[in-house]
Amino acid sequence: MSQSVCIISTRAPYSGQSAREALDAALVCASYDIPTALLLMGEGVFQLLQGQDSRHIPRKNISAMLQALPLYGIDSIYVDERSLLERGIEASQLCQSVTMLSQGELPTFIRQHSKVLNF
Amino acid sequence: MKFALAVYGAPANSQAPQSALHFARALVAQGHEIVRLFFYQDGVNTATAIAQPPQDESDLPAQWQAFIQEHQLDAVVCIAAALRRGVVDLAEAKRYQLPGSNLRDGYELSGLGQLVDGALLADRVVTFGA
Amino acid sequence: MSILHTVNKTGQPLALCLRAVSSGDSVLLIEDGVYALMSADQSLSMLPDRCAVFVMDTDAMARGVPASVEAIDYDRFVTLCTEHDQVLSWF
Repeated sequence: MSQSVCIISTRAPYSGQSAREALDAALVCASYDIPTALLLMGEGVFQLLQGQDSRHIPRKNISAMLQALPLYGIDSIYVDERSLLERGIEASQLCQSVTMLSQGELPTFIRQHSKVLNF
Repeated sequence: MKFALAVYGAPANSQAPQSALHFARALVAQGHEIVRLFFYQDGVNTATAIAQPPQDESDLPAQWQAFIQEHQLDAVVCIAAALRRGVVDLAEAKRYQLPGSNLRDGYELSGLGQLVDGALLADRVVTFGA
Repeated sequence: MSILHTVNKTGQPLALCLRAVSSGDSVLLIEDGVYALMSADQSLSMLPDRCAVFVMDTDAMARGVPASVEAIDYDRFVTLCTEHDQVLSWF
């Protein structure tokens, strides 16, 4: 299998550094010209909520960084559909369109990558 | 087999660096190669020279350093994560005019690319998270 | 492709691990993940068939959690890594 990386981000933004550091890792992978996928699961899906204004914490706006991913060669953000459902989040509440992975698709998707890194 | 280990938890508030050290010792004992150790997020605190655990607790920073030096391992501390958390070497202390430096010998401050490199080079990547 | 999953706490890490597991994978409970073996937590009953569950012996012992699955040491943790194609940590 030629190399490809899946970065899984499972934490909500702003209170800690995990979300930001997962994103940094995804960007670095992509800069190596390795096919890189970013998968948000669990509380990580909160990174996609629209209408974030983090200036007053202050923190860099993670949803804005996610929206810029295509500039770095990461064209899709993958989301565990069940993580949205269990948090009552509809697709219309997200800051951008994403690729949903159903429960049936998730294990297969993860296995398509030669390396999977969790943050 | 070639292994890359990533450590994301700090000694003071996580079992991650302890579990990682037990695992690393077992790897070496079985003849596997550790191609990279990467300390990221709060894991950078494993590399501090100025933590002083109580006498009746294990000194993980010292144990990790000894292990790294004994086996001459490539131990990288993510520079961005380290600067954020106050783990700096002399060069960074000078660069930012900080009052001190505290990175233990045996570690190198470097970029996140070293984690990616290590992951691509290794047959297995094992992460010890917080 | 088989995956060895490590889980270091119950709650979200265990729940997300169970979503990612496929038949033939193994799950290793370490650190606070050993509490998944407490009887009130039924999460592990949701595993697909042909998934083995292991617990880190020192972590279960430290926490007073009886090992109701195979308890292993770090040597076995290493060999499990070689027996699976990937290792994925949940934390």
